[in-house]
Amino acid sequence: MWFRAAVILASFFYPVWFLHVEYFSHRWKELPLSLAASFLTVQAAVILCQLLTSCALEHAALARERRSRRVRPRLLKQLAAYAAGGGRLAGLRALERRYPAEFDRALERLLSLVSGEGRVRLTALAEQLRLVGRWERRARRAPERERRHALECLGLLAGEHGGRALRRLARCSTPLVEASACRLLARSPRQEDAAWVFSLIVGKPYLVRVLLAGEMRRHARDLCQTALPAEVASGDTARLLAALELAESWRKALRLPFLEQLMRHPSAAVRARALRLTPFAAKGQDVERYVRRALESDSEQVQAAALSAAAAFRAPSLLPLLERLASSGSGELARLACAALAHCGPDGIEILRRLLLEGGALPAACAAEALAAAASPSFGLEPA
Amino acid sequence: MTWETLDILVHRFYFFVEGAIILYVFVINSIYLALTVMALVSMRRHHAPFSRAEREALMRSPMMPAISIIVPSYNEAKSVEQSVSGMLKLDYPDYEVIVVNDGSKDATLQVLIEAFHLYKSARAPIGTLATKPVRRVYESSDPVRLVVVDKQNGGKADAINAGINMASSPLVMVVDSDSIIDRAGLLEMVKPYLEDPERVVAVGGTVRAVNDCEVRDGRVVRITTSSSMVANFQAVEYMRAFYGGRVGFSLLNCLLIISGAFGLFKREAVLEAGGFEHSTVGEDMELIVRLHHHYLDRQQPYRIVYLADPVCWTEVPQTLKILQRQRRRWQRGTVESLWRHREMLFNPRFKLVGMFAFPYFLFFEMFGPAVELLGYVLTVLGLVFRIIAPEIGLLFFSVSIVFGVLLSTSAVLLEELTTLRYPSWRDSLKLFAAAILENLGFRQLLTWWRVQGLWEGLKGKRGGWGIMERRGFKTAAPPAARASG
Repeated sequence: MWFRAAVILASFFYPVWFLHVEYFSHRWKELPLSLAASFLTVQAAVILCQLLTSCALEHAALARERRSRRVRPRLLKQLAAYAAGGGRLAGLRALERRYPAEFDRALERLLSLVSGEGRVRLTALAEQLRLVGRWERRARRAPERERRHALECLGLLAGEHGGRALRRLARCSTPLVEASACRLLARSPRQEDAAWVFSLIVGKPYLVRVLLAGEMRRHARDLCQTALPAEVASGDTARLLAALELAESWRKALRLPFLEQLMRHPSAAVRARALRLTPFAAKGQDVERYVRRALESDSEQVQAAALSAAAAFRAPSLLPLLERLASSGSGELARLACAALAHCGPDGIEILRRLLLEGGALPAACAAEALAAAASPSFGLEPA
Repeated sequence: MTWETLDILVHRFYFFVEGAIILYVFVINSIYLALTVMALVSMRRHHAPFSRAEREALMRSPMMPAISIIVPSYNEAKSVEQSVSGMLKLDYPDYEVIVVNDGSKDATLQVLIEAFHLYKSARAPIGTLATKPVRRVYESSDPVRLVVVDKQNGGKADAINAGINMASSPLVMVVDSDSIIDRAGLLEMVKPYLEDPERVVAVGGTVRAVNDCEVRDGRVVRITTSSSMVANFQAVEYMRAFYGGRVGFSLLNCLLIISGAFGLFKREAVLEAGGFEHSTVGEDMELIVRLHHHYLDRQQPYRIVYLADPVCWTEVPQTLKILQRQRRRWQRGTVESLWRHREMLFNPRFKLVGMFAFPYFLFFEMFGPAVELLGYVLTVLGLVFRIIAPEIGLLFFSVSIVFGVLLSTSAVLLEELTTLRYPSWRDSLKLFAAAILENLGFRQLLTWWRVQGLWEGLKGKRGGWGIMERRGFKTAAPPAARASG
């Protein structure tokens, strides 16, 4: 980028120097006059070029829009007919040759709308017209935006396409390209693909994981049996935190046999993250005791996570601990404890009322807030 | 000493000063050009907004960080309903809007209460920033996440701090109450944070003039240039400032300003730095400089990023009187921010910020207008009294005015090459005309106001909320009504 910028700048200043040395300085002896004349000449030329470029851009955009408006309905109609089992390949091939960009867009649009047999036919059409090869090539080489677009087109096709290429792209350094490739791989029904993507994305930027969280959800149960325990065993805290965060985002009941091990982890961040998973632990796992223990922890981070979990358990045995934190915890802890109490039914509400009347300024304010929230119609729809 | 010797001395001195000014103006404009070229190259390569599929994935993702949009508001009864309506309809999975009414003297609070069916809430502030007392907190009974904080008047920075205290999200966005954010603006704005959540502490977006654009339901539905040339001049000026300066500085991680009208911050970072500063009129710039100061001092890695994609539309002044006040205020803000953090100047501890961005802002942004004005005055006087030759005047004209035109047209072209937001020929030509004409009188006027601002800043004049005469947004009729009418 720096090189390109330097080249553009040089191509602006060099002609100024060239005109000055080679032309204007021979005509006029005054240095300022020669410099000003050459500078003004180049500037005027550049401004004129910019104006012409702007006009050309506008013209091209308008022409593109007009052509698209004219051709698109015809293309969609013919493609829809083909998807429904009619239409002629020769006619579509001619249209593709004549309007390649519009054809691409129309096919992409239709692929996103149809499923089943129609999608299979359109996929076959894309292969026959060699569009799949073009998209695969573009996904590897073109600028970032086009690469992502090509990957999205590939993702719309029926069946699997570009398996090995996708694994390579999933390892490239551009987060959005990685995410697009991983998304396609995650859609594969094969468990090993999902596990491979999971182990890859826990080491990738947060953006990739955010984009993939939904896609990985369908594999949640299997990943909790294979990939997640592997991360727990790996000992890499950063990867483990990312993996636990992904698991939490699925919001699904899961078997989490490694929770006991995580509760004894030396990192408070890992313990806190694991506590946030406890509300999703499948029945039969006695996780309430972890929350109870964590509420008495020295780490505020762990206590805050335990309070969020306590709100989900609504267990009467936790009430004394919640009350203690609500009346003596720091600002954020008191607030969370009051919010958790609000979720604990009449007993929790009773404690909040008591805090409102008898507590100090901070507990009273937090209790008032929690009571007001509990009275709102949307209460309980969102996790605390 | 004879008259002749004195005459020679005056000529030589004049020639020296004029030469120095020409060199100064040439250097400043060359730096602008270099930054614009860097922006062009970078934006052509990295301009990649989220695709539809990515936007959908983000909207569904439970891992998206929550955002609190803080809208400080003072006497904004005319536009607050439309802009808050727009803010409540953004594409983002988890956000709340916190409007802070800073003791408005008009009906701002009443408008909000009626429009959004507010009720008195028990929500308590959780932040610890010192602010003027909060009178009451309201929440909306509609199915929207809107909080209104009514507090005693304390200035814009105080209002933002009150909003930060009330915010519970890890990210806070500060938006002016006369502004409209693009529907996908929030998703785009959060992108750098998602890419690097550990280091990114602030993200700035682009601010554009909304004057005469059509607005429906709090959204800009038709982008057009204004019928007022003053607004168009500012539209071009904003393009030049945002594309030219900020992209380049952001690439070097030494951006010293994120517009107070549209900025996203990590809440924890702002709290750690002490929040927005009450005693300056340039609280937006001051906070960014302070964040640099804070992190570089502690040698902690951080990033402050500018993005060209997310756009916030704001009403720009259409009268010279209001514009003059605004520009004097901005210049005062620059002076105050730089003065407060003067220890950063040429201090290698502050890396590129101390060695490049700070000196650049001091010598070119702060004192630039004074030198430029001196250049105009000396050139005109020199030509009138025949102290300098006409060719020197021509050289000054080429390096200041024509170079300025080139920078403005480059910014307009950059806009067209990357986003092509203005869809018609007429608008493009109007922008190009504005880019040329703004350098023939308007820029000189701005220079004069900025010199006044510089003087006020050096004298230490204080200020509160900027006064802006609101015209309100130009509303578009709904499509059906339009077709029938």
